[in-house]
Amino acid sequence: MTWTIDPSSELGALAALGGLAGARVLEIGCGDGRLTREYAAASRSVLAIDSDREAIAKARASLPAELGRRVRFRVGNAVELEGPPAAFDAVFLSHSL
Amino acid sequence: MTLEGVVHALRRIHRSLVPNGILFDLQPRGGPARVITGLGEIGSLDGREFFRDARATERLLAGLVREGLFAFEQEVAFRVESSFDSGEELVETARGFARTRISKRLAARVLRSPPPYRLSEPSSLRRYRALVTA
Repeated sequence: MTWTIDPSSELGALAALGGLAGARVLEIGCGDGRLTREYAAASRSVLAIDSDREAIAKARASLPAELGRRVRFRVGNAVELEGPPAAFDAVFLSHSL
Repeated sequence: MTLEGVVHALRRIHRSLVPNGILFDLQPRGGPARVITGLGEIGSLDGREFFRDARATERLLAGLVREGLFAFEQEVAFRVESSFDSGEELVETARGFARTRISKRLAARVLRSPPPYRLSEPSSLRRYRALVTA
């Protein structure tokens, strides 16, 4: 089965609003990382979370090796956000909340 | 997520951002996803429950804007296009969506339709600025 979501419109909108280049990004609701993989190369770092453990496993498995040092995927949600304050330049809510 | 949880999450998001950091909010907005097959546009998913909850969440975020945590800056509208190998796949996928339904009648029409099989969902991206609070 192949369900294909064209990411171009979402990525185009991100670019139109300034994008995530050079930013330390927290993505909430990353799913299988289909958008993360597209924008991460230009960002400084990405922590991408989703409450779906299976989706996070897929995201980790499909992450290109060259992004491995820049992107971390974790199971989690926005309510349980922890960590130091002011740790991110941008938060990307992707079909979440 | 409960409405209390949404407010809690938005406050945590504000805390996690640097002063003047950016919040991007990508959501389906502007109506239900259209179902398009080889017969043309044959109907829409029922997103009433989803959009009811989405409006409640947007009211909460608007409240935090009034409170001075975030400032709304800009919005871009677009459509997210999904394609499926078969009508069965489209119906099965739509049945898995949270708070969105596909009617039995529309599902039957999809299954009787020739390819292609697509969903076209109006969406938008909003940009907010995290303001410095006292």
